[in-house]
Amino acid sequence: MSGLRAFAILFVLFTLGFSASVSGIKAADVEDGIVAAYKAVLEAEEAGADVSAVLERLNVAGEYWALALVCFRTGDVECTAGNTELAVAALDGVVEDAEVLREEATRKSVEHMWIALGGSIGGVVAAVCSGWLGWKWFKQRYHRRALAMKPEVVEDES
Amino acid sequence: MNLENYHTLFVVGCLVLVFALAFPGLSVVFSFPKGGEAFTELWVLGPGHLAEDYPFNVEEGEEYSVYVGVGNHMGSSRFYNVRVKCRNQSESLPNATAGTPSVLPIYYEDRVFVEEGGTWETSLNFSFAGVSFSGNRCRVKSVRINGFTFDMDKTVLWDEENHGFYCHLFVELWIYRVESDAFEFHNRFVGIWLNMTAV
Repeated sequence: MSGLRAFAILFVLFTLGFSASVSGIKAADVEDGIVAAYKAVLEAEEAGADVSAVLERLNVAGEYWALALVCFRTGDVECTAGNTELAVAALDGVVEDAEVLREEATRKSVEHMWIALGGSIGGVVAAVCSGWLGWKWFKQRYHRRALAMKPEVVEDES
Repeated sequence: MNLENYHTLFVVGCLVLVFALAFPGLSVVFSFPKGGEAFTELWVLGPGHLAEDYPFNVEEGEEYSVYVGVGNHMGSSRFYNVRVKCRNQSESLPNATAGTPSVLPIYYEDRVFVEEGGTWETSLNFSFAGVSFSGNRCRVKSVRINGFTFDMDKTVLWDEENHGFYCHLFVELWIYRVESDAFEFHNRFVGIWLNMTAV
C-alpha cells in the first residue's frame, strides 16, 4: 500500500471515525448488509428452509467484520480495511440465496399444505362413508343371523 | 353383546379414525405451540475443553487459553455478539438484576450466527504485558487477545483476603434484536479470575 493511500485511510478512519469509509466501503453499510442478510436468512428459516449453508457464509462475514472492529480498536488501519473488504466479499449473494431458499420453502410448504389438507379431507370423508356403509352391512348381517337363530314353529301333529 | 353395544363400538372406532386422519390437515390450519423455554447458553472452558484447569496464576508474557462457547435454544437462528472485557475488583460487573452490561471498554469481540439447537465455540488466547508491581499495587499496561494487543493500563490492588492481585477477564453476551434493530445485552456473562504474579 502506498504511503499516500495509507495516509488517506488513516485520515478517514481516525478523524471522521469508523462510520466513514474504509477503502471506499462505508462501515455502516457493512453493518446494514450483515443485518439485512440475517433478516433474509431468518425469513427463509421461518418459511421452513434449511439455512445452514447461508448461515455459514453469514458467519464468515460476521467473523471478518468483528475482526475489522477489533483491528480498528487496536488502531491497525490496514487490518481494518482488509477485514472489512473480506466481510463485504463474504456477504456477496447471501441475501439473494436466502430469498431463493425462502421462495423454495414457501412453495414446498404450500404444496405440503394442500397435500395434507386434501389427504385429511379425503381420508375423513372416506372413513365416514365406509363407516356408515360398514355399519349398514353389519346391521343387516346381524339381523339375518338373529333371524336365523329364531326357533322354528312346528305344527303339532298329534 | 347386543346391537346397541356394537353401534357404540363402531361409532367410537370411526371417531378415532376420523381424528387420526384429520390431524395432518388440522396441524396445517392451526399451529400448535412449541414447548420449552427459549434460552442461550454461554460458557468458558479450560484449555482441555473441560470445566477445569482454568488459568489462574498468570505471568507477564505467558500465553494462556480458554474456550468460550455459545449454545442457541431460542427457537430460531440468532446473531450474537461476544464481548471480552477485563476489570479489577473495584470495577463494575454487568448487573444481572437490572439486565445492564458493564460500562468497561470492549477489548476483543466476535460476531456469530448460531442455528437453533447449534453451538459455537472459539478459543481465547490471552497474555498480559507491561505488568509491574509497586507495594500493594499492580499495574497492567496491555492485554493481548488472539494476537491483538489492547491498551489496558489497569491498576489492580492487593487483595488482603485472597492474597493476590486479581483481574477478572469476562465475556458478555449480546444478542441482535430484530424488533429494535440493535444489539442488546442478553444478560449473560461468564469469566475467570486471574492472579497477576511476578515472573
